[in-house]
Formats: sequence, structure tokens, C-alpha cells
Amino acid sequence: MTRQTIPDLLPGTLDLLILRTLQPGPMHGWAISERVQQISQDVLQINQGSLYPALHRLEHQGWIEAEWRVSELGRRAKYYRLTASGRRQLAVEASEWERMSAAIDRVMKLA
Amino acid sequence: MKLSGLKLRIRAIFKPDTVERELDDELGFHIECETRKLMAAGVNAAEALQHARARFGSIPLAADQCRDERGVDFFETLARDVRFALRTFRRTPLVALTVVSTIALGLGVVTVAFTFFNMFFFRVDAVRNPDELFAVERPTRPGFRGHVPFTWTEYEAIRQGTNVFTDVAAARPSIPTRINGRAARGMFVSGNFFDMLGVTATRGRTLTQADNEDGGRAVVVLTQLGWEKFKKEIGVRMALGATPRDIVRLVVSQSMRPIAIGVLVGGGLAAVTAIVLLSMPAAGMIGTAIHAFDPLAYAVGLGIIVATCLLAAFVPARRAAHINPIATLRAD
Repeated sequence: MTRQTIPDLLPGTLDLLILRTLQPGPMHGWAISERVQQISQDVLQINQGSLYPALHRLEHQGWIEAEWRVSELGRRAKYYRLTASGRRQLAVEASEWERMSAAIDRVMKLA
Repeated sequence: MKLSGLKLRIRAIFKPDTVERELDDELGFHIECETRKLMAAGVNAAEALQHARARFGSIPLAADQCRDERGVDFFETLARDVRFALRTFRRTPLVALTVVSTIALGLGVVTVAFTFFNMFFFRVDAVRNPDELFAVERPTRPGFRGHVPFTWTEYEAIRQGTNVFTDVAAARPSIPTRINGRAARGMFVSGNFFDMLGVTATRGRTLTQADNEDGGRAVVVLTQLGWEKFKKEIGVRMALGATPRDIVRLVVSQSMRPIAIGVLVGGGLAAVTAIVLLSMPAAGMIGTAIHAFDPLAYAVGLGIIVATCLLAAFVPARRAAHINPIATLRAD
């Protein structure tokens, strides 16, 4: 099975995936990358080097908030949480994504 | 910039060590998680760590990209530059002093110049059609700055004999005078001055052609600033118990005050200074030369003011006596 490394997939999708992954609750960086890989059944693998710059960017945008907590390993970890404006942004980006993928879908089927 | 981003930036500027340590911790935690995961799958510790690092890619590069997201490069560079400048100043204090004082002086000059420019060129908009106004002057010699004032006859000739201008008014600015013992500057103008400029009085009237009449009483139009000064003093005196009679006597005895016939409020001229605009009953004195300096004319002009003021002072004095002190003081 070929693995697709994000963000080579499509520009902007990394942000969308991070926001969506954080929707159920706070998570630290590593957990986010694991979660995406797991849910996508190993098809999507976040480029770990670009995950953290993306997290910091989203934090500066005010879409996610960071908090230091003791992790399951007993070590301090930085947990990220969606903010209210992050939820709004997620809704915008999700609908944009749906529009885009539906469009590509139509072209693939009908062109 | 969003507030959250601003907070993070401020934190990165003032607590750079903490922010750096947190970044190290965060990335280190990721490597540890990855390593543990591999170890749980049966890989030995050293190999697991190696794999975890390989999968992550360059840690310093990721850290740098995270720092870029903070967007504090500008501030860091600025702080470095300022420190460098201060060091240079310390090494060469004389040069630094010269540079700083040159800039300060330059700024000061520009500020003063702009203040004047603002005063004389931007604040004349209360005048009707300022772009249609022209100053007619007669230099003492071609190319020289001094002016020879026009005589009244010459003014009349210019006024009636030319059809280039809609109207011509005479003005002699910067006449020193006194109001209530205080130095003030006035201006002799012909009766049609205000009509020509399109300036009206807020109270009373402005000058008319009738005020040009030889032997007519001297009248003055106060600018807004002049009026503010004048009415406050009268109000204070009455509040201190002066009767209307006292005020009349006071003003008459000071009597350097020409009769006030009108007040300009918010007029373009008001911005310049506390100018008292005087009409000139003695026709021969008026010239159109603007900025002309003629001590003799000033002296004669002042003499006429003094003489006519004595006669005219009674009317404003009586008017002053009827000012309600409480209302006046409250208005201020």
C-alpha cells in the first residue's frame, strides 16, 4: 500500500486534518499524527517535520490553544485544543473541502 | 494580527528562554512517543530512537519553522539593531550628539515651518473663494522685499480704475494696540474688506462702506480669540461685585478700547492671533501693501486710534455693564 505524506497531498489539507482531528478533544502533536494515520487506515501519514510548524501557525491564528499537561507517559506534553474561532474555521474549511472533492468527483465520473 | 497571536508574540519576545525550552520539550516529547511505540513493537531502544528521528526529519529545521511562525524576527532584528546603534553611540559620543541634535533641530524647524504654513495657508478656508484672492503690493525696488504703501487715492484709483478684480479692499496688517491694557495686534482695513472676503460676524456686524467716512467713529471687529479675552474679564469683575456703573467707569477710564461692533467666531482670521480689525476713518492712512513696515504710518495710526477710542469707549463700556456675570462665567 502506498502511503501519502501530507502536506504533499494538497495544499491546505494539513490544517483541515489537524482541526478536524482536534474536534473531539485536546491532543498533543504526536497523538494527532497517530490518529490521522489510524483513521485513514495508514493511507495518510502526516509529515512529522511539518506538523509542528502547522500547529504553531494555527495557534498564532487563534484557531487552537495550547496547554501543558502531564501526559500518559508521566512527562509534560503540549496539548492542543480547538477554540471557538477554530471551530468556525473548521466548518468553513470542511465545506470548502466537500465542495472541492465533490467537484473533482464529478469531473472524474463525467468528463 | 489577532489577539491570540499578539499574546504569543509578546511572550516570545519577553520570555524567549521559556518559549525555546517549550519548543525543545514539545519536539522531544514527540520523539519519545515515537520511540516508545517502536519499542512496544519489539525494536530495541537504540534502533527505535534512530528510526523515530529518521521519520521526524530534521529537528532543527522543524524548530526553525516553528520559530518562523512566531513572526518575531522583525522585533529580534530591531532589538539587535538598536543595541548595535547604542554601542556605536557610546564609542563615538561626539558624532552621536551631532547626529541626534541635527535630527532634533531639523524636526523642530519642520514643525515650526508647518505650523506657520498651516496657519496661513490651510486655515483661510472660512474665506469665500480663497483661490481668487490676490495681494497687490508695490516693492520699494524691483526684487526687494520692502513695500511702499499705497495712498488712499491710489487705492481708490485701483479699485475703480481696474476691471480685473471684482472688488479691491485695503488692509494694513500687524498694527500693535492694546485692549484693556493688554497688548494685541490689529489691522486697518477698508469698509468693504469683510464683504469682499465673504466673512460675516457671529454677533453684531462687520464693517461697511459707511465706516470709511471721514470723521466717522472708529469701530472694531473682534476675532473670536479677542472676544473670548474681553468678555471673560468683564464677567470676572462683575462677579467680584462691580456694579454696572463701575464697569462703565472702568472701561471708559481705560478707554483704549474702540467700540466693538461685531465678533467673528470661527472665521479664518480668528485662527491667526487675537487680531483686532480696525476700520480707518482717516482715509489717507490706508495702503494695500501687505507686510509693509512703515513706522511713521504705525505711529500716526496709533495716534488716531487713541483719539477716537476715547470718544468711542463709552458704548462698549455700557454694553459691558449689562453682561450677566453668572452667564458669562458659566459659558466659559
